[in-house]
Amino acid sequence: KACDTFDHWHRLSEEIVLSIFRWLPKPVLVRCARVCRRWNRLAFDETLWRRLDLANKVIKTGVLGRILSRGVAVMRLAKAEIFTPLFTDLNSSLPRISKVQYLDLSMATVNSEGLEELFASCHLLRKLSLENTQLNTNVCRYIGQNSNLEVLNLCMCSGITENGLVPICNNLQRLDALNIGWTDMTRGAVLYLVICLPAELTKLNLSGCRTSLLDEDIQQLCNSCPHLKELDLSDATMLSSASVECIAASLSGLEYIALSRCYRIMPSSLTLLGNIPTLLALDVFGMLKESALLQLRQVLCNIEVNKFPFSSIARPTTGIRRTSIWGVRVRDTAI
Amino acid sequence: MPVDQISYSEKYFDDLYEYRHVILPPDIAKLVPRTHLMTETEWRNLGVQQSPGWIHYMVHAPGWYTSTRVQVHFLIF
Repeated sequence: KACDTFDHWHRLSEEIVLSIFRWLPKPVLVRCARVCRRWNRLAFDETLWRRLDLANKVIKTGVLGRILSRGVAVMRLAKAEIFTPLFTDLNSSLPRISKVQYLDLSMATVNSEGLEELFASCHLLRKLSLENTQLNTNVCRYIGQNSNLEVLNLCMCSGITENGLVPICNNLQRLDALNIGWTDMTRGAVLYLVICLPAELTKLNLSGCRTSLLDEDIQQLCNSCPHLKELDLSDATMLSSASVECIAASLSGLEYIALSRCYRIMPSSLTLLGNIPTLLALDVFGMLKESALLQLRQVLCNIEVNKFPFSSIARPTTGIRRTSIWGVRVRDTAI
Repeated sequence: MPVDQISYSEKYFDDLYEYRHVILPPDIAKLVPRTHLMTETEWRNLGVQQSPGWIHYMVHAPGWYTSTRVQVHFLIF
């Protein structure tokens, strides 16, 4: 029987093939790319690679470089293990520019050289999470290239120095939410931070400074960021009631404040926070006995006290969400 | 050992770090987030009490649906 050698795929227009490929999971799509030159061009079309979820995966050398060159815009690499070097295709001499805008690298296992390579190619980032990773000054300098960055999560990062903060504070003027808690910054870094933070910042997590955050820093912070809506200063054991007075007086738009375990703050001064009209929630874990807590709740009747044990400032996946980052979907439509 | 209390294991060591695991009772265990490791502020807010410097580096949950006891692992430099 004369087999029908006519290739029906050639009669299909590229848009039809693309809309079929859109339903394939990424591993299958990559195999389709080996079929013929046309399929290769279609399988690596930018519209198919806009969102990618590689969480918990092991990413071998060169793979991430190829993925970035396919134009991924929303990428989740939480808890992924990334081997360096990222870019291994020797023929591309042109400067590597990636189109990533939403990038979640929380708890990824990647050394700072790999991060340097990655961020050298990123200019369009809008939301970035690097929680629990190892940074250095170069990585911070590259992060400073993304002038329209809105959300930055550096919680529990190591390697953040004063020199690293300079590009972050100066170039990221559109920064809206910053989580830089528990990064054991030196006294000089904290001093620099509270002076040079972008003025439009509305959410700031500066917890875990212990003895490197003092009352005058809070005074300076209230001047440089008057529009703060959410502020977390937990575990700053040197703060006293003077800070509470300053916050209550100057941060008129404040909605949430956390002062857990700031032992030097007298509980009586917490009632001052009641005269911030917009305040919705106050966290003071580990500071008040049961009776004092009850009394505070009566005084601050319309304010939730000790309701949020976890901070959600600048974090990509919070609450009941499982894979979306900052509300943006990363999974393929089909799966 | 009372079920509704946080219990702390003995410390164990390797040449770099010191380790300990903390077993949380069910009502606290279901609060532990799966999307990020807890900062010191967060695990202290939950009621875990340890000397400063312990870092949360792993959650061991034996089968989420049956997990009555979640183990939170800590290490110290």
